[in-house]
Amino acid sequence: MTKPNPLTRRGFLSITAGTSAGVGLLGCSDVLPRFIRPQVIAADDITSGVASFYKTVCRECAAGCGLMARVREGRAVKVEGNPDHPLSLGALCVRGQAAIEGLYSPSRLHQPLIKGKTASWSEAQTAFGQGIGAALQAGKQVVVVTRPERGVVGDLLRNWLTALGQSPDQVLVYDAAEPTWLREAAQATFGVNSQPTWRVDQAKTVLSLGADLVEDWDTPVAHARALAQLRSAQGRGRFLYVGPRLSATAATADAYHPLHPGAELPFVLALLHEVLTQQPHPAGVDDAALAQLKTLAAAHDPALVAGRIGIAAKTLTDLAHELLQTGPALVVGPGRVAAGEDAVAVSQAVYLLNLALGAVGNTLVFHEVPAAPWAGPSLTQAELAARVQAGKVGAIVVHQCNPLGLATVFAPLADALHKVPWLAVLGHQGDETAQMAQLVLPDHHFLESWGEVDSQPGIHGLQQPVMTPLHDTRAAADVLLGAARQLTKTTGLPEEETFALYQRNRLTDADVERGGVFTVATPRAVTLTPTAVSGISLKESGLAAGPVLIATPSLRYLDGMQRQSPLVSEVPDALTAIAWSGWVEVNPETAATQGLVQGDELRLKIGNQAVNLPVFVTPTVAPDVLAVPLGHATALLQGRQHLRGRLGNVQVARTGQRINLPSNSGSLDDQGRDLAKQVDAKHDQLPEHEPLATIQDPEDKTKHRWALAVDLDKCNGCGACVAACHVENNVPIVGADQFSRGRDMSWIRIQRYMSGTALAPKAVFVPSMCQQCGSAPCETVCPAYATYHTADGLNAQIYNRCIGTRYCSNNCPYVARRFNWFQWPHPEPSHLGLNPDVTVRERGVMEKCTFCVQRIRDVEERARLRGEPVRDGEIVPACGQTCATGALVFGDANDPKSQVSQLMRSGRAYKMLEELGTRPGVTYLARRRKENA
Amino acid sequence: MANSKLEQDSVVPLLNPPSPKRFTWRRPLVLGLLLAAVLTPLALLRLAPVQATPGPGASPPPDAIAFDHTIHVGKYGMACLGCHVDARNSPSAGLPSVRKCMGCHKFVAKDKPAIIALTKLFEKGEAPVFRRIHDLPDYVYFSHRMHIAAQVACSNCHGDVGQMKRVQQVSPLTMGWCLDCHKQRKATLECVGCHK
Repeated sequence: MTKPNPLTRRGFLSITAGTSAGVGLLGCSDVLPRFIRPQVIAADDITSGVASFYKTVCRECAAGCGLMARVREGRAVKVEGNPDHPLSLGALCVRGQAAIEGLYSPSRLHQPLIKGKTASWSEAQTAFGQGIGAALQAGKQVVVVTRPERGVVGDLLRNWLTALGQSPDQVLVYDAAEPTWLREAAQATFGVNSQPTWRVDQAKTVLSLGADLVEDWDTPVAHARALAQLRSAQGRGRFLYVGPRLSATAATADAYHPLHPGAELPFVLALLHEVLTQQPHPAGVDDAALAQLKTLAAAHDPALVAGRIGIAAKTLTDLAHELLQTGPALVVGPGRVAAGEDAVAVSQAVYLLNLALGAVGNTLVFHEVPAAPWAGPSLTQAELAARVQAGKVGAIVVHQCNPLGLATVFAPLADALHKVPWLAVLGHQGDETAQMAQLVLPDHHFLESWGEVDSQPGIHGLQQPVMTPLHDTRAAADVLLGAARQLTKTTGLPEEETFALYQRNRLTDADVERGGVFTVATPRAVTLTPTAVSGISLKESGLAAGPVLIATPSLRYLDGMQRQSPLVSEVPDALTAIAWSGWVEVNPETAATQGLVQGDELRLKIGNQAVNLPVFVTPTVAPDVLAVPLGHATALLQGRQHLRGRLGNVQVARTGQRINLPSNSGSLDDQGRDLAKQVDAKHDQLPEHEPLATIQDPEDKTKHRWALAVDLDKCNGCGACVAACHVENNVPIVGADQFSRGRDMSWIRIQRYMSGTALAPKAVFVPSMCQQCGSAPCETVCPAYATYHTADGLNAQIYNRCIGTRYCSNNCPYVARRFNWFQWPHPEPSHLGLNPDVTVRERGVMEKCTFCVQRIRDVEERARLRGEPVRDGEIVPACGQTCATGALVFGDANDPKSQVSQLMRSGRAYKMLEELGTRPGVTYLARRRKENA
Repeated sequence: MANSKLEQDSVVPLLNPPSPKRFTWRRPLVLGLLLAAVLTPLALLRLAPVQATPGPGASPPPDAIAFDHTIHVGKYGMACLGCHVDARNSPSAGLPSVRKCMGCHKFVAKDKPAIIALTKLFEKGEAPVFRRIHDLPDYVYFSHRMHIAAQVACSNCHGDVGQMKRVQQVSPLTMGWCLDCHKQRKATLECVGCHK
């Protein structure tokens, strides 16, 4: 028998080695084998590992921007703007960027529901045909409630009703966000029942009356670009903003003049008076019209009005002078925040002012009135409610909208939907309206289906599927056609087997390739109606005393009833930097006198309706104005039947609660550190300063040095870059609770720095991302060599090397790094939307902006295979790709001809916190301030 | 023995590739495994939440086909890029589509059980499933097109596939192994060349 071995030092070490190896081995064996499956028939346009792009149209709002979906192995993973689309020209907004998230949303409907129970398509389709058939049999009407459908689906809805023997006008266009007052005023002034087209891109001087062009004004992406171009050095135009709140649009203006809510009408008329005084014979206005204008303006001498509305007579004179001096001019408005009970009269006055400025037919044009279901003339809610009440309506089909989402506001419509005997919903979310319906027939997502969107007259965007549907869904058009066939009422309807075939047959390959058919529409001539002036009621109740509440629109929530997208909610608001939740803006002076601090909850009460919201102290509103986001104010809108922003006087009370606001902004301003530099537009030059003395080696100029230029004069804080970065780089969404704990993961933070005073505020938006320092503080402190400097000037972050010490983030002066405190979930099927080119980071790992290194390497690889150097502008990071204003320019700093290096040599160029010697790769261009601004 | 079985059954369960023998010290291993049994739950606790989602399970799916490279490459000398066409212009080499297989097998070897099984799948509009042998971690980016452009032979990494009845991993595919070659050929040594 052998003696058991005593445990020697060697033995102990061997055991330890074996143990660790054993643990290691087990660790490895946890990765189960993976399986791969080839395609059955190779698709021409799928190469594994390489993305394909398909052009289509965005349906996240009514604007209908062109987009291009990036598809990998048959699944869309990113959307970008379609550069060929005349409206968006390659850019998208924050909502558009979030479309991918909607596509893979776990809350989408997977299959049809009959009375709330899942059913097969054959059952559901039969039930739909029977429901419609029963209504027809009983001699009752069939009504369609739809979102604005400008194009082939809209035509189909009308033709379908006709085929069923119904009137094609039994369509109610549900567009809660439509600024109806503009259409009503156009009818009164020019006899045209349609929205005008605002050609901001054709104007040199633009005055906005509370119209938030980059937030909710018909086509925000196109307007954002137009305003940036207008204000650029080449454009040499001027953008002026008059309104009750410093919105993101107002913040980008050359001059912002606060106007008390309710003072809009006297303001516009006084300005009209001033314009007619300075130019008594405006071109293109006939004598009769001129007489009308003069009669109207006569009573509004600025000298008399100015004192009452709180704007100096001198300001009015200057505004009129500016509008007349540099033409073409355009006055836009009134926007939602400036629209109260008198909104139609104010709009009429604005049209007349434009007429006096020579803008009508030039920068403000009208087109032929299109038939419903364009946004515009359609069955009214009251009429539908009356017909339902009278028992005339047998069936309502709701197509792609959720009118019950705001039931409190649109009471007549809600009433109709509740009382109608049979309700079917063709949509893709299990929303409030779907819950009410007898039958829910899930439609494809817009990225899975055919359609068309006429964004504006002449702009005919094509919507095509970019991937096969995820779920057991069916195109709404096919459901309608199926019912028509079942009832053998198909006269005038497409004969093709499917709607997809029908639409594809109408288009040429070139149309599909381009993403639509784009022409220039001829505007129609308009003349004043005899009642143009008399319609403007001049009753002036005087300005209301006490605080006035306004509801502010935003691109993130639009009318507040849109699908509450987690990604859009995670992108903070431009001015307050608050994500997820609502707030009420209070001026610092009011807060001081009332003893209110950030987060104090207030109860805001108008009539019988009330809402509780926490205070955000900010000079964006005047002391006698309170502002709430429209999406969080719907409880106050009951019975109004429209979404106007000027809500009127409000009773305010404290609830005693204090709420931690989920905001990523530490303070309103830059604490005197001069982070957001501003220059006088005349000199366009920052003060010269000596280059910093350094003992560091000079940078190697022979290789690429990737760099980004951020033009603060162009950025309007819209947040599209933030959303694009989230989608491109698989950046997780953390939710309100973690956001309020400062654990937001976004790689770009748009800093809003306020300057000026509590009564004359200014704001600059500073998109802050990793500065890719040439001498980076983060690199020297990493014990794992997980962050290091690449030869082409990037601060690389190697996730699989990171051990999560967080030293780098502590040492980063730009707060650019984000730590994964948790394993963030990607619930099915949202994992299908992850970008396969970017590592999904796990818990305990630091991450940050990489200048989209996956895109840099992809372009470099392609260039090497071509045997050519990378061209300037060929590499576009996700943030720069989606930026409508062109504020973000990427390129090689060591190529003296590249666009970015030219911008870096500009007189406005500066580096943030340059005095730290970090040698950032991001250059900021100072915000221009024009004199008197 | 196993090989003769393979020839009989056209559709066979996909077995694990032989794992390289790593340990030669017997005693430490036995003792080590005992200790590992104690430590593993602890280690798993740490590892479990941070692992990539595993594939569709270890058990082989029923619609597998034993594809034999010795016939295609070894016997008939077909070129790698003839079937793995994407390798030249994509980071991924890809698999040929089933229709591509059927392009020849409509005529060739129609009586072989594997081809009969494949034809059945094709007629149903389905594709056979393959076990992934060369599987890099998700945080590694590997580009076939760049390696082919740099004239690295397929066999440099994949071995002589023409001699493999069933494809096996002959290279360790570890980072050190990659870097050895990169150093020799003066290719990029940037971390972000492969990790991003």
